[in-house]
Amino acid sequence: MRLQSITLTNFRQFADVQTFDLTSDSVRPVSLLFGANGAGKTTFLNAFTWALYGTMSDDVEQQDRMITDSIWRALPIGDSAEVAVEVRFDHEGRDYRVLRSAALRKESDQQGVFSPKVQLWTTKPDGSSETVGAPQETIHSILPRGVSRSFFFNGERIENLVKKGAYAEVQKDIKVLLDLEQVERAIAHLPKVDRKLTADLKKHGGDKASGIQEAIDVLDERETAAQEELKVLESDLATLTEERDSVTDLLRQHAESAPIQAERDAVGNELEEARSARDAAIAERALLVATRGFQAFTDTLSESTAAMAQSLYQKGALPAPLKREFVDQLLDDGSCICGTPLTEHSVPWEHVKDWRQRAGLQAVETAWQQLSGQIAPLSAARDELCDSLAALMKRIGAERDRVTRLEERKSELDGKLRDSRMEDVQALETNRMELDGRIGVKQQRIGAVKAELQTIAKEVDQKTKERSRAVVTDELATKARSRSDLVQSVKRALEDILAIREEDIRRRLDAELKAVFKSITHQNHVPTLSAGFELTLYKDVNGVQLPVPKSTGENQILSLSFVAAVSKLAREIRKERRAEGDSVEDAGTYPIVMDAAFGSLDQDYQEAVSRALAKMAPQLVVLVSKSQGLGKVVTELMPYVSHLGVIETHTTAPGSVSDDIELEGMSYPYIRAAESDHSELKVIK
Amino acid sequence: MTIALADVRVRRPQQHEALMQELQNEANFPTFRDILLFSAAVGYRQERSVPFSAAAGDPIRYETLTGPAFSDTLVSMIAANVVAEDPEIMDAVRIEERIKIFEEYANGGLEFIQEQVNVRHQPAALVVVDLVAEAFTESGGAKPVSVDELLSGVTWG
Repeated sequence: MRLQSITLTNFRQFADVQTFDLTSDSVRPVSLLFGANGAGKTTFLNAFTWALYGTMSDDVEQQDRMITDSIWRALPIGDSAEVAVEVRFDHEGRDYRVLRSAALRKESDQQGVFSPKVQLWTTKPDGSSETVGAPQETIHSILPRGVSRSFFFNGERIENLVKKGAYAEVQKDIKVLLDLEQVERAIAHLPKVDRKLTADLKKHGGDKASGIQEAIDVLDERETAAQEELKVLESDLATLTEERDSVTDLLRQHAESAPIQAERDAVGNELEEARSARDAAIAERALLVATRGFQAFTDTLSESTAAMAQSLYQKGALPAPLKREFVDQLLDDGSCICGTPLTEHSVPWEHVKDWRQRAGLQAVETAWQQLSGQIAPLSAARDELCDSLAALMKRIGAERDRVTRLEERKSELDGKLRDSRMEDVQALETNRMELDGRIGVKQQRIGAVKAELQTIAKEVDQKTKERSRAVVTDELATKARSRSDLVQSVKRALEDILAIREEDIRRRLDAELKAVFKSITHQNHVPTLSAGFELTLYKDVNGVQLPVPKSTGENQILSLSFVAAVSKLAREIRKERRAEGDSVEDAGTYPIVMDAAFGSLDQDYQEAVSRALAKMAPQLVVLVSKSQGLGKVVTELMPYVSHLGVIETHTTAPGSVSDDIELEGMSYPYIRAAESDHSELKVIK
Repeated sequence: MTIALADVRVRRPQQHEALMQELQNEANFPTFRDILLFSAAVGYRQERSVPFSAAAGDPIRYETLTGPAFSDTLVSMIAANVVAEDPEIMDAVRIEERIKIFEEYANGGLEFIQEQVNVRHQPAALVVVDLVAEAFTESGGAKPVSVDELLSGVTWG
């Protein structure tokens, strides 16, 4: 398949009808298109897949807005607009023209649902043109949809090709591309042929032979069932293994952060402890203040009370020189201590009574004695309270400092951990063990099914032998038997061929991949295509092969190498496969159309990748922006470029947005202000 | 001292019920008794005696009030200093008079604490601790609150 041209009609940014010539030869296989961000490089890439398969990649947004916005906006309601992509290409000596188009009647500013139709015309070598009846089928037979992913790709997503989980699809794609699928299909079809033949044998072969044949049929059915089960099991196993790998990956990440986590836990515990120590000290202080705090205010009170007591003593009021109780006794008795009778209201009585007021009460005296007796201890208690409080303040201060320090440390550690994913290790570990268990079960089952298949194969062999020995009288049955025997042999032979071819292709692809990868990278890494068509990257450390964790850039290079290797091998194989006659000139040739292929690569890698691609791909369409493409890429690719173009951005953005691109000493418009937002394909050479 | 004491009770002012609740709940004051002792000491220090009539809850028995060490000393000292020229204020029979004095200073102390809570924009628990600390650091007495201090408790915005 070689692309000749593409014509876009109102296809997203590309207003009206725009054509870009892509014809190239082996000397100059490259078409190079520049475009600013948003100019429509990805749209251009997707135009190919839309024309061929009616699909666009998921990274194309607003897929329901296929018709150029300005065209749609200007369209009167009720009128129709057309969107179409036409791709011309040749394949194995024939020219093809595929046109996918849709007309949409405007009912509102929203674009409605499309039902595009696809048409395919072919020009025979004699020049006559005819419509191909089953266009989509034919396209699939020329370039299967699955395979196309390797040839029409977005460089920013190309690493998905080598991502875990993509292997099953990659493997399928490769088989299609490298003609292995046809063998597989043949093997799958043979039993049906066999069944038809053996039906005759059963009908006419007599009891013995019929019995044997029935047994063989049963075995065949079992075999088919077992094979189906094996397929399911293998895909389950792949899914489980992938899941386990991702869990293991998480665990590994966790292992890296485990020491930090451990420290954070320790700091966290200490922080808890410090906080509760601080809170305990604060509570202790509060209780002390609450129960004994009043003592703090008693200093002046004590002093004045002491002074008061002192003056009472000095005045002689304390201890009382005369007790009131004594005077009362005299008054009650009616007789003074001197013997004078104390008659009420007599002079002596008045005299003694007068003393009664001056005499102190025993109780008051006791109370004062008790009170002054308490002053010194109270003062001591107050001092002690002061000391206790001071000690507590110090403790609180220390604990507060500790809390602050720990909080700072913890937040620092939290920051370190924020980026790593913190699933519960316990749960992860459990999950992994469970997955391991389930993988084990699947593997056992796979082993069992495989053993069963072997047994069945042996039994079929046995029965087939018995069948050939069985006496068959009917001529028709004899014929059927020998034909069936032949089919069995063919099937076995094909199976052997498939195994050999598969291994052969894997080895060649592996070798090719190694060669391409080596020519690009400066790292001492070696890619390997395993028996399961799994891509891995190793590095040799003193004779030991260690897996390399792939970086984004490395993944891109690996994918590009893989694509280049597949492309090269496809050509070689298609050329070899002809048993008779020369192969068609472009057999196994596929174009590579890539968008932003150099996105995340360093300058030296860009250079190496461009060089490798220019040499390896039979036809290459490269879409780049100024920043990706000028410099190394242009220098390397220019000698191979047959078509050079710019996707000119026309924008309604205000201000001086204009920008030019300088190519081979000439300046060309890159971005221009315009009445409407759209892009134009401009051919430079 | 005498049997009559059994009937002597100390009232707490109803006006400061909320503050007393706060002191119990947040400042670790185990009982109302502790609050009254503390606030009376503060009230006397602040020379603030405020009569009140409305009492909250059941009055506290004098024996309960004077459970803690030096608490009766506090009650007596306040009375002796207030009724300075009458040593007989200490007479057992004048207990009710002493308690009335005590109650009024307790009321004044609570009023003062409430003022400080309002002015300092601090919870009562902190005010209480600060008051004790201030009593220890200097001769005591309320310092006039500076503008800075007034503003420090305010959050803008």
